[in-house]
Amino acid sequence: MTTTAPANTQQLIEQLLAIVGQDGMISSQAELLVYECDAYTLEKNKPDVVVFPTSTEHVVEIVKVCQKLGVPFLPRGSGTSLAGGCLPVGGGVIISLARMKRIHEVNIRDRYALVEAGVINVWLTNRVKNDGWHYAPDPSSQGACTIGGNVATNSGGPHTLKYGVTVNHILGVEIVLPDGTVQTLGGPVEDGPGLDLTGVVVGSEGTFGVVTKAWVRLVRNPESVRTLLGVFETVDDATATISEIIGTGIVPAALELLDSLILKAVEEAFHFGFPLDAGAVLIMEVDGLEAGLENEAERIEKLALANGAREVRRARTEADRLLLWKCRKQAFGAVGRLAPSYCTQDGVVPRTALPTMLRSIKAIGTKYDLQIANVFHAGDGNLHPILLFDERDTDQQRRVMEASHEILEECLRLGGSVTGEHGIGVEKIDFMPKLFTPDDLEAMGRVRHAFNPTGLCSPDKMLPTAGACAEPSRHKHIKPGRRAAL
Amino acid sequence: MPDTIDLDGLSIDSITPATPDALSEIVRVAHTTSKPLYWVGGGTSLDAGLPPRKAGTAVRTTLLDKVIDYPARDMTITVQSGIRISTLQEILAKEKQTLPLDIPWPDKATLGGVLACNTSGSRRLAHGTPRDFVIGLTVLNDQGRPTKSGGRVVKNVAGYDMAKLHVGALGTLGPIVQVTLKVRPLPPARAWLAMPLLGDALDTACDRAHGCQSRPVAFDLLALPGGPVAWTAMIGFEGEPDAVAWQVARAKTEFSNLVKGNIIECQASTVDAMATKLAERTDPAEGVVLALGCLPSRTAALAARVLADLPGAVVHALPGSGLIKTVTSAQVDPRPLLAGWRQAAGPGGWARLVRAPRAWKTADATWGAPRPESTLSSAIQRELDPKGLFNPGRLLHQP
Repeated sequence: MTTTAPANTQQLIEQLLAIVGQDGMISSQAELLVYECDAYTLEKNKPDVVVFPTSTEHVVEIVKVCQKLGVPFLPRGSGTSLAGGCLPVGGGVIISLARMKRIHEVNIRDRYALVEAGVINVWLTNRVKNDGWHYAPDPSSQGACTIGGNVATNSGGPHTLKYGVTVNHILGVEIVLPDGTVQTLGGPVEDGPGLDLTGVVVGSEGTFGVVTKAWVRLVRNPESVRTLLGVFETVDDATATISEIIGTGIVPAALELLDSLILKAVEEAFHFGFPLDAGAVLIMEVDGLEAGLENEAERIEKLALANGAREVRRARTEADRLLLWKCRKQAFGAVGRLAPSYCTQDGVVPRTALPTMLRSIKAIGTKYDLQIANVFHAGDGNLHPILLFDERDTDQQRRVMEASHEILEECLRLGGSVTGEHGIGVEKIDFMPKLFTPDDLEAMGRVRHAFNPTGLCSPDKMLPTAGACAEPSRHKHIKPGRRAAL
Repeated sequence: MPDTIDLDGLSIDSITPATPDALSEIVRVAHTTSKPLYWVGGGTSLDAGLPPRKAGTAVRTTLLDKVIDYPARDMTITVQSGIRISTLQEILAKEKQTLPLDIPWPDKATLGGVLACNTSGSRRLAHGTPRDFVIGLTVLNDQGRPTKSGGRVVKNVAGYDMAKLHVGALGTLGPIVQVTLKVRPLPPARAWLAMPLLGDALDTACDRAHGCQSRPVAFDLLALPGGPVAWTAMIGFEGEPDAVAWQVARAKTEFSNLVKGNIIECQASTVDAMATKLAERTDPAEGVVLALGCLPSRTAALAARVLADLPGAVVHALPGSGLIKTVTSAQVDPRPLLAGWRQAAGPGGWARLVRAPRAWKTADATWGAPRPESTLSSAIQRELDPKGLFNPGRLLHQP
């Protein structure tokens, strides 16, 4: 674990200045505050400098300087990580990809696009939608998050239920390795020789190098879509419906649950017409060929009604449908109406365990005297309990961290995982020894060592460092080398 | 009980561990003695990659075939890697589920072998390859200790996705012991159309398939020697009966002006096995097999080139994925054709010898010139198998 010595910092800044220029760098203390955390605000640490390369060649030179001076570095897209993926543990250099945002090539016939890592997710779909195509992984943050960030965390989104996650849609990457060499892994031609290096880079959370470009798969739009909204008295009824829909062999395009707390917030923000007295609503979307789609929609409707749905509404127009999705995707933004701060978790359980899990979350909320809102990708068992609190109150902070921990423990107990799409980052490093044995982690460490032998790229992410506590620390300030905001 | 196996021309003793612990012990001993191990599943792809040269022991995985856990309503299944594909599919079919992969010789092929080779067929157009179905994996490390990655849930980003390294690695990073797969519902209806194509219609057919309304799950081109036409398009559909009926009717109309003679709707009795049979066309016991890869838009031209260069060959192309396989007789060495095919395949394209007399399978013929990223593959290989124990010498990056 390294920290940059003050004597080096001046040298560092001078050498980086020579690469990116004054406009391509932030080094003043005030401006660096913006980069002291990402969307996971419970831990903060300032970098020594943030640089904004505009080309792969810049990134190469930056990485070489960092290696020469022994300074840690890490890539950052839009900083939407909810797990501290962009936290500069130990200081060092943040390499922001924000200015590498060109879409180099769009090839519909060969179903790919070549984009720089800083391209915003939704720009891709916007670029090809008039051709009737789209980029399938659609995290709720897609209006802000970058493709590079999506690659780092193997991002999901509501439509991954049917269309798969980011790794199913990345054909190849250009990556600057920590030694400054540039590698092209994979590409738009399938089944190239050798190992699937692209596949292991996706989800590596920036610990293998700096991804500068990606060949992404484009997907043809379905012919038709039906979007239904099931209104339920209880969360239990909604989760039972989900299990049944999946269990009967239907593969919806999306199944998203919003509970009453979230409903209040989004209704206030967006005036969709959500029923405020409902226990939960379920967005149920099916897509595909028009022939047979109505039948599928009716089957889902029947299942919802059979499981206690008060009513099942339909989005009648495209505008209706888009508004419904806006409510879902911008739900987190509406949370500010409920509490000054929030912490969201990303647990996963087997689908059939959803009813049990939701009941546990409710009980945990009661135990810690916290309000917990739920909005999540119900179809694949990926939950996002949103713990509401005021971060100015340290006791609430403590209770939030303990409740979060208990929620994730429960996910594990039910046979799930602690992260479905947000990543381990720094937030969940303590859970890695609960998920994996020392041998498992050692094998992963060996692969990381092949990419990142000096360990200077994204240190202290994903894998616990040697000697880390097996028991999770409840108070982050105990951890060596990390300063948390308390 | 040791017996001898012919591993692509190398004759070696084989053993068959009955339990994962027994396999661990075998690996542990190999680590101590530095004696290579070669994995043998169903024996359907033993010639994948370069022929083995180092003496060692063949390890048969076929007794490690248990179902560990099958929570059908979660649409996941956990099995040991020696399970035969047909057995796995039968188990899934009882719950109206399936693994939508088209594997040749499924009665023999094991899941471990399929993953090691990332074997796929026609329906990869719609469903992807085995790589896309693995959500959890247990592999033995070089000391015989189990290491796992992923888990039992379909969304999981905890830790590195090690499975992506192991799938397609020909077992060179360690033996796969246990796998958790996500599965899909078994489609209630299927149909296949065989469309004999007009002589000049190949490229147009592929372009039209790219944007067609009928949206098949498979669109293959097949050239069989001695047929009435050079090329037949094999088009597959699956889904709800109403939808499939609509698709079949639509496809007949959409492609009608490219067809010579009659469009044949395949009989119900052949439909279920059609994709498997197509895959087996280019995986025969005899003959020389080559494979090519290119951008989808180039497939028609490249496939036509292959047929022109190898008159009488069987050629099977997947234009939606840019993949071509061909089987030709072993009388003439096809290696001189590779350079021209690689050129014609375009940037990123490739052409390989898959099955051939051992002497023909040089590194260049089998894998092509090493790509720059092979240094990274080599580094990973050295980390996970520093002694070179696991199926050594088969993948290009190995010494």
